[in-house]
Amino acid sequence: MAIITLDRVSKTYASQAGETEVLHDLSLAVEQGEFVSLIGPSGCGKSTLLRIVGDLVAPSAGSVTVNGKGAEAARLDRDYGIVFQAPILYEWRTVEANVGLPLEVIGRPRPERDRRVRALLRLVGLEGFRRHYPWQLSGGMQQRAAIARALVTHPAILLMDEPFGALDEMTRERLNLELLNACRETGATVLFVTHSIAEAVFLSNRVVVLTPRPGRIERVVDVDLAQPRSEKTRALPRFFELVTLVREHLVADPALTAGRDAGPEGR
Amino acid sequence: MRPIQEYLPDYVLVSGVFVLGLALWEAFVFAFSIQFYLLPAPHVIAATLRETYPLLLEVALYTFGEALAGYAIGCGGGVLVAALASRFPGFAGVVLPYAIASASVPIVALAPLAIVWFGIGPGSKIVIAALMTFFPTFVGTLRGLLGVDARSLVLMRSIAATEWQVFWKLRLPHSLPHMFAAFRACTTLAMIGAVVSEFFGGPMKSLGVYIKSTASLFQTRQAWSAILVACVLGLLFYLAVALVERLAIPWRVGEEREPA
Repeated sequence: MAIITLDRVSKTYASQAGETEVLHDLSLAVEQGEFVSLIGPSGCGKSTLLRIVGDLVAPSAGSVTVNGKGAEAARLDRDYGIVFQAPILYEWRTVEANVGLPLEVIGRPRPERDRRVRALLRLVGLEGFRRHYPWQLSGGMQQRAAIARALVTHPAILLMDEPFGALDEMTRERLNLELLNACRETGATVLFVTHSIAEAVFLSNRVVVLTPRPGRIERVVDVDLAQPRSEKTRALPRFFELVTLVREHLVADPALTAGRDAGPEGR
Repeated sequence: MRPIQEYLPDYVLVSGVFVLGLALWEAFVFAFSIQFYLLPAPHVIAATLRETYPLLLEVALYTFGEALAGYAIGCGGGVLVAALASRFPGFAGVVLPYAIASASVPIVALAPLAIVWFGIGPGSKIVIAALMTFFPTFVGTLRGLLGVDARSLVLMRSIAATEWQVFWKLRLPHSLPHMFAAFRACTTLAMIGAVVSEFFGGPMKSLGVYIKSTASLFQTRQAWSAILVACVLGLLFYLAVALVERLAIPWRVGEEREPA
């Protein structure tokens, strides 16, 4: 059963320079427990699409159904957790207080909060840094804290907007594995925006390739790599085939074809 | 040559400069045979302090009380009005330019009028000190409350926080460093407001009146010792607020260190 349904969604931004259509008539269904990546040339509206699902931006046309209700109702019911490219940790809160923020906002009692924050910090390997302030953590650790914060309410859906885009390749690969572990344990459905073809293929059940602006679905690539994924997955011939397949559908983006993002041959 | 900072700790250098300044002052008065009523030598001021400190302390604490009352009203009011204004950004936008412009208004110039309105007693001094501290606190706090990063607000929206929660969990803590910067600057302003207001009239046992009357009688030694006491009180006031700041903003302590 589809947990996220996008039905003929369009988005147009108006400015002095005129109207810019970033998404055009896009429909997509994400199944319960699926990991779906959105990839596409810069400006194709993939981040906007994620924000429409999360009710952070309203679509100009079309409708979004999340967990059987509208996007706004889903947001107010805290059906999703979201991770942005920047960790957005509050500098006046310790790591544990940052991770516990969503529970605080819901009004959960202190002992329950502490218990869940601890469990999540263990899950992302930050249990030794509970009382640290964000500035005392490296970029990768900050992003782990942000992931823990997004998962702390046990949301049915995790929305991730290039969460590892600002990290170095080594950290990114390690966090990819940790993310898959975390998702397996919490059973969350993931919608994941990325610039990296390898990352999209490694993580996903399906990779949705968008066209240049205005974004439409160019191709949906089913990733038939065995679960659970591991470091070995990246060395499988099938992995390279899928990366190449996704790349072929992305030719319109010079940034990607120039090999800025690490494909298999880049390593 | 290696810079002197490398082998002497800061406090030695700072107190060294102080002692050197006193010695130069002493030497200057001695070398040019300056009359003590024009500029008393430091040792003369020290002797006067020893003789008159019970009176000076009483006088200074009276004035400090006025400054503190005005400070509490001005800073407290500044924070409250800023909090209200932040809930109505349209209102804040209209008021803020005036509040910023008030920084260039010499509020002490109102001191003679304050005496006309509020009498010769502590009321007029408290009003001036409160006015002088209100605007900087209001401006600093409001900037902190409204200056939160758009991404931080998106995060709050994504976890469906209420406006009230956004205020308490995001705007207010974000504003604390701005607030305390204003609180620190206002310690000096409150002292200036109280002392200068007293120049225009007040009880005999207040710092402003004491400095003014001793100076007009050419009792320069007494005036200087009172000024010195005012300086020390002002400094202690500032340090006390700076200490509270360190406790209230623990995440800023040691921020200059390298991340782990």
